[in-house]
Amino acid sequence: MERFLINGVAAVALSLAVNAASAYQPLVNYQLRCMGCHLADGSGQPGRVPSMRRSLVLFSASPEGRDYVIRVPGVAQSPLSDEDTAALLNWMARNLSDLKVPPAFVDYAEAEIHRLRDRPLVRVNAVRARLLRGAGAKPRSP
Amino acid sequence: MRFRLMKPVHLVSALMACALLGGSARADLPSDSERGAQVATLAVPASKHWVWVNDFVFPHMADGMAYLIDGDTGRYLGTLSTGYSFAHVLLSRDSKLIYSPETYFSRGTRGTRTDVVTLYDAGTLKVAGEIAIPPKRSSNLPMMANAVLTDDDRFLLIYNFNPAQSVTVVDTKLRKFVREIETPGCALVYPTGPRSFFSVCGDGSLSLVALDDAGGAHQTRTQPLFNVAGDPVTEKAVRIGDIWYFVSFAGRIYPLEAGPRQAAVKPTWWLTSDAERKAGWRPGGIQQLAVNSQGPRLYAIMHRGGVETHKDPGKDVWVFDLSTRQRVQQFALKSMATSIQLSSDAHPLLYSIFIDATDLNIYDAATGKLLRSVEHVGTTPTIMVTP
Amino acid sequence: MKWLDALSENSARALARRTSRRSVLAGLGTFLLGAAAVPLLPVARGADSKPAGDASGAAAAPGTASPKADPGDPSSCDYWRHCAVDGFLCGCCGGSQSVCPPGTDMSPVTWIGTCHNPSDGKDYVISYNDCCGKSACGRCFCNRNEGDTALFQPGQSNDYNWCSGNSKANIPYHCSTARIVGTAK
Repeated sequence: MERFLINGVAAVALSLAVNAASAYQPLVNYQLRCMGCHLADGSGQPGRVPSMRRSLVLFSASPEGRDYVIRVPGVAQSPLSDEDTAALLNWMARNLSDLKVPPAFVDYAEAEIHRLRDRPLVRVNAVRARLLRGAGAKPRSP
Repeated sequence: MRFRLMKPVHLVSALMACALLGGSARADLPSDSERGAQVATLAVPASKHWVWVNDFVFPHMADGMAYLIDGDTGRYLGTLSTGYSFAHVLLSRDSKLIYSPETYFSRGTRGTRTDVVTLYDAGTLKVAGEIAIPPKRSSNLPMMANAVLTDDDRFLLIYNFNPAQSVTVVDTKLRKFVREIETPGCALVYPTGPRSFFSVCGDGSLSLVALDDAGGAHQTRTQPLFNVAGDPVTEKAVRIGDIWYFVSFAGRIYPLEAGPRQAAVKPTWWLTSDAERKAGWRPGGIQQLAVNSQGPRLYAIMHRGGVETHKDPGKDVWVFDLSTRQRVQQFALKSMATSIQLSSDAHPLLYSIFIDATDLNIYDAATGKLLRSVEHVGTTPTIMVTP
Repeated sequence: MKWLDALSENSARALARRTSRRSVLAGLGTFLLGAAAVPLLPVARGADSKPAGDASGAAAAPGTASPKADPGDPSSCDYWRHCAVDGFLCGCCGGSQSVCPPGTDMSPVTWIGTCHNPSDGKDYVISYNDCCGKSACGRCFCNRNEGDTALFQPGQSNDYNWCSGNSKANIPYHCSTARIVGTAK
């Protein structure tokens, strides 16, 4: 997808490298793009890599939270397409969470991803801590 | 021997022979211990033709080293012992200090981790000071961009990875750790001025940081400037003036002009012709680019290998005039190289070394003529730093 | 990467890379990473309870696959799982392609890639977990860069020392495994 300019001319992203990510199921996309740091169960590394096992479902309930989920660099900068990114987040919410997906859960959509991912977050830790406090959860480090 | 009248020279020789045999006329060599313990020192400022070869000693990474060689004579001048997963030394612009971000474990290869910036006196190579920093400096195949000084030497910036990504800021004037700047999704550090630097992010954008005098930071993210999916750039960029030259895996040069708050890529160009690219020519190595402001010139280690050989060594150096972007010269190195470096003066030397060999080769950069080789330089030499 | 092409110009380079006269480092010193379902395989953090959901996929326990299904010599650089390995092979260091040597700690954070198994024709997700806590093993160095990227994309870069991700793993890098996570489908 054309997201950048080189020499003032929109350049088409070349796919010389075998990037078969879009051909994979969400489970495999998680393994290839997230598991390396967030681990197989999404629990991360205390003090270094955040756990997603509560925060993903919690944050998905609010616009600010969803903004964070999409703009956090691991998601925003991922080579996965908008469609595959949405599918992955929805899979993670149902498979890597200690909190059950509530009935009011709104699935992530391709358009929503597309709208937000061009502005990766800079102040990740501060925003995450604020969201956790707002959700009534005690912010655990990081 | 027959005694008869000898010519004077023979008489002198005979007298000397007697003296040697008799042993009484010549004084003993002076005792070194009379002069006490003597330790060599180095001239300050360093010669522009000196080079620091940095070595992370891959089989024994707790024992990082840096070696100083005189490029003009080939003489080995001195050593620094620099701890675990060592990257490289940084030379102060006033030539008085050498900064070295280092990592140590309380029991050598295990135990509590401590990271410090060690300050070495450039004249004595003794420890002149130490600044404690967060124990999270990135451990990776050494890059120049692992740690840099801002353009006036005031701040020392160190890339952290654990695997969260951030930058440690050290105030060299106050000799203390100032702050850690969060740089999620972005890696390494490239200075752009006395109070600014950038990191490169995973989507090909830049994180531009403007520092104030207290080390406070303002960050801006650009739009993606590099083509990450098709032909990513390597980390091994080199700089002349305001331009950072990044090269892609396939050999495309991205001249990047960046300041505290904006950045732009100037017209890109290829190190290779279409035919050369088809034949598999591309740059490769650990420190495959070097520049000198005479010209100005860009030197690149080249090899034939095609896709996924962006870290392969090469035996050929191609030289480009940066104002015309034309190749002006090609020559073969004495042997395979993973790293090259140029001295910064007007009659530069070119250095080459191979991580899997220990001979440092020194050439006239203008002609490619091999001037001298220095044997036994390190274990797994990586990148070279010149004053 | 034509490692085995004896006729290509790369052969000397490849040979130099694999048969260093010091037998420790051939060519380019980089770190090998991989990802795996660390909490679920027998060797990983045994006391951890199995979480409600996980992304390990169904992986065969190490050593149970038949040689035909998992072909080649795991201590060789040419072993199919090593398509993007970078470091010393744990199989030469008292472990195996799935198991860390005695006294080391397996780093749970890692680099992940996909390699093609020539025996069954499938692509597998491979996790190159480093074993950490001792100085480098120094035997059977292997470096292949299929799919490797720069440090700017950590998840696909084999130049990071991934022993740095876990305080228990203690940064000193010892060797690298190549663990199957699941099939890439």
